[in-house]
Amino acid sequence: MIAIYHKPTEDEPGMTLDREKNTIEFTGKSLPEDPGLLYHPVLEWIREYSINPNPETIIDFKFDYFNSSTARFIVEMLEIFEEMKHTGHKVTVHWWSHEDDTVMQERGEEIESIIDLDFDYKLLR
Amino acid sequence: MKWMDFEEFYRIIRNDNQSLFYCGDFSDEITIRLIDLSELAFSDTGEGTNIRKKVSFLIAECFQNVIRHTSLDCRIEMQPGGRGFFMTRNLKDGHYIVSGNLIHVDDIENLQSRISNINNMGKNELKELYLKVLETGGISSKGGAGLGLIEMARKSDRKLDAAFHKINKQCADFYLQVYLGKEDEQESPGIDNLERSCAVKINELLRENKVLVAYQGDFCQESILPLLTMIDRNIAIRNSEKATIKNLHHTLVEILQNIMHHGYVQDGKTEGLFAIGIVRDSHYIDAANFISNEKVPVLRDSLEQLVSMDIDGLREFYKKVLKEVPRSPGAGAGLGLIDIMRLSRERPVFRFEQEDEGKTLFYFNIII
Repeated sequence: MIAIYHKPTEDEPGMTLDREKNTIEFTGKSLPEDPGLLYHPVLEWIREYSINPNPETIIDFKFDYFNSSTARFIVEMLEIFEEMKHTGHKVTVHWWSHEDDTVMQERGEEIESIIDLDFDYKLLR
Repeated sequence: MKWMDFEEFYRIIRNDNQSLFYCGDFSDEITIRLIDLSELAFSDTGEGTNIRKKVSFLIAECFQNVIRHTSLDCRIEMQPGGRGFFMTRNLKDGHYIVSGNLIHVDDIENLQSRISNINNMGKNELKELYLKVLETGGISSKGGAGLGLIEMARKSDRKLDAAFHKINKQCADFYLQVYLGKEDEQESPGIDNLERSCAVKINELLRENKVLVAYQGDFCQESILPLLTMIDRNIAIRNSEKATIKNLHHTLVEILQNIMHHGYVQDGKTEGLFAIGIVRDSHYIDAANFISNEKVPVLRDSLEQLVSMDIDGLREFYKKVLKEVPRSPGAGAGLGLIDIMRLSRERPVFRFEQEDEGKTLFYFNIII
């Protein structure tokens, strides 16, 4: 499986999706002009990964900020991982935010409430 | 912003190609962002790089003027209104760049005579004076060599427009304007003065409403990103509370991208106007843009539904939309609006004013 490495820009997040290194990570800001263009290849990657995943999957969301259309794609990604969990695989979400960033923390809690996955909340330093 | 003031402001600038108004902290990073934005306005007007470069240069000089020459005493005395002012208006017949800053009344005479001295010189004399000042130095106590004014006159190839408006016994507003006509234009079309650009009127309107940044023009990703950086900077300096900054940032992104995605497109542009300012201990955002008439009923209904909900109702509705709405392109576009409503401190105000058979002006005001 070919890994995805996307460098962060002013409006696009840094993304690492690497099966060999067992890393799925999002960092920085996400407010792209066309979120579909950015996230469709990511969704495709996750779908392919979910067919034969690693024994344990951790997804690290280390967003500083994401807009509402990105939220939709995060949910869509997590629904694939949710399916994986339902078929017996171990999946955990690490949701990172800065100590005083209540907005990102709340966004995580809301997504957790509509997705059947375990969320671990962690502090970004 | 008071609706009457907003209406007046909009009436003045609605036909501009692009305009930007900035009040508050003037730092170098903001200068760069202003230049980014102004270059965008030129990218589709077919104007040469020569005028573009001149505009970038003049923006930087005007901005520097505000940083260097604002009287600290006046700034303190006139808080919170004692802010620098900067505007650039790109109109069909040319480009205005105006700075406004508070100076001590004792400095008026000196500045006035320097400007009229420059205005009385021809091209060659200005060049000579420039070289002389460059050689002999003559750095003023404010760190400027007086070169800025000379260069502004040289680059714009027109007389500098200046005005001094005394505010009280100590302080005065000093307006400095440069005008750049279109490249093929030989003579000035009339008198270049501050009345034509409405700079004084606009500054008074914006000051009265404690506006920090206002923008009129095309809403696309290339204009939104520099605007966001400018506003983040401006606000971070006055307010260190991260949650406030985040909430504002989030609301702004959603409002600006809503205009970009759903505004009325004419000649390849999605034009709109927005302003952010201070009201009591909060911030307000005003936005106005055209939408096509057929979108009005749906938008009006969803706004009315959202403003009738309380915070818990909005949260549940947000989660429902996030989970259930199909993700085909354009579907469930209401998520951003719900987000905006959730961050609002007071009930948002909106209105629709039909412009013609095709489009309606949609106005939205929110306090964060």
